[in-house]
Amino acid sequence: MGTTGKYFETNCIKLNSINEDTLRIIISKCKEFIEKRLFQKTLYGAHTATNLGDDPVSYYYEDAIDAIISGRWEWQDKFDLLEQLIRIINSKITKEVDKTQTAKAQSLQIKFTDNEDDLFNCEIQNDSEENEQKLLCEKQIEFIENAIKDNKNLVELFDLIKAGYKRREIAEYLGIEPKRVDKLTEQLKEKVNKLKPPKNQEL
Amino acid sequence: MSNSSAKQIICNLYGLLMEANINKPDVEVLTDLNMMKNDFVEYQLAKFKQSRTKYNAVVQRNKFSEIQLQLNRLREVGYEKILALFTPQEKLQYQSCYNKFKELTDADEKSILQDTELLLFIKKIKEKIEDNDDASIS
Repeated sequence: MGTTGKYFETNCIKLNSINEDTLRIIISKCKEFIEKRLFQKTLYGAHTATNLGDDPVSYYYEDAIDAIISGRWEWQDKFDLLEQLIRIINSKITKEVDKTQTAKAQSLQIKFTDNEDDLFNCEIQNDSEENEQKLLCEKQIEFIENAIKDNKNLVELFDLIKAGYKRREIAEYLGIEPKRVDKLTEQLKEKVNKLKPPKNQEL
Repeated sequence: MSNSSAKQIICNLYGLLMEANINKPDVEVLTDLNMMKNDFVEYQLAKFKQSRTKYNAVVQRNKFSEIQLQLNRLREVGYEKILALFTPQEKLQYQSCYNKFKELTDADEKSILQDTELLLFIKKIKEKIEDNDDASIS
C-alpha cells in the first residue's frame, strides 16, 4: 500500500457518504464496463493477465478505487463515484496500451479524452492479431444475426447498430426513450448469450 | 461485409452495451446482486473497507509524527519564551491549553490527535514563532 495523495481528505469526505449498496452497484457496473471495454483484448497484448500481473478486471478496478481512496486522484465535484472511476479506468487502459504499443501501431491507438461521446468508444487496437480479430468479429455478427432473426425489434436495433447509430440517435430514429434502447440492447445480449456462443463471442 | 466494418459493428455494439450497463437503474442492479451473490463484488467491497482502514491508519500515523516533531521543536524553544509571545488576553484565553501543553506526558501525546483544542493551540504557537521569526526566539 502506497502513501496518500493530496486529495485524500476531500475524497475521504465524499467516500463517507457512499453506503454499501451504492458501492456494490458501482463495483458491479465497473466490472461490466471493464469487461466490455476490453472485449477480445485480454488474450494478447497490453491487457493480458501476464502483462498486467493480475486478472484485467481486478487490475483496472483496483487501481482506480485505490487512486480515489488514497487521494492520488481528485474525485471531481461534477462526477459521481461511478463516473469518476470510469474516467480513471479509461485513462489507465490508454496508458497500458501506450506502454506496449509499437511505434507503428501508436498512430492508431485509442486516445483517452474526457469527452462524453468518447467515453463508450471501444475501438479495437490495430495489432499483429488484427486478422484474427476481424474473423472473430465476422463470426460474432453471424452468431448475433442468427440469434435475433425471429425478433423484429432486435433485428431493427442491430441494423441501426450496423449503420453506426449511437444510443441517442437510435432512440430518436425509433421514437423511443434512450432507456428503452438500453432495454432492447439488454434483450439482444440475453438472446445471444442464451444460445451459448463461444466464450470469446459472449456479450 | 468488409473486415473493417465487421470490427466497427462489434465496436458499436459493445459501446451500446457499455452505455446500457452504466445507465441501468440502480435498483435493478441491486435486485440482481441480491438474487445472485457476486463474488467479485463482495470481495471488492471487503477490500474497499480494508483499504480505507489502512490509509486512515497511515494518515493518523503521519499526523502523529508531525505533531511529535512540532512538540519537540516547541520544547526546544522553551515554555517561557513561548509564553512571552502571547498578549495578556491570549494568555488568558489559552491558559488551560498552555497548562496541558506544559505537562504533556508520552501517554498524552498518543491521544493528542483527539484533542482539537490543544492541536489548535500548538498551531497558534507555531504561527507565533513563525511571525516573530528570529527576533526573540532562537
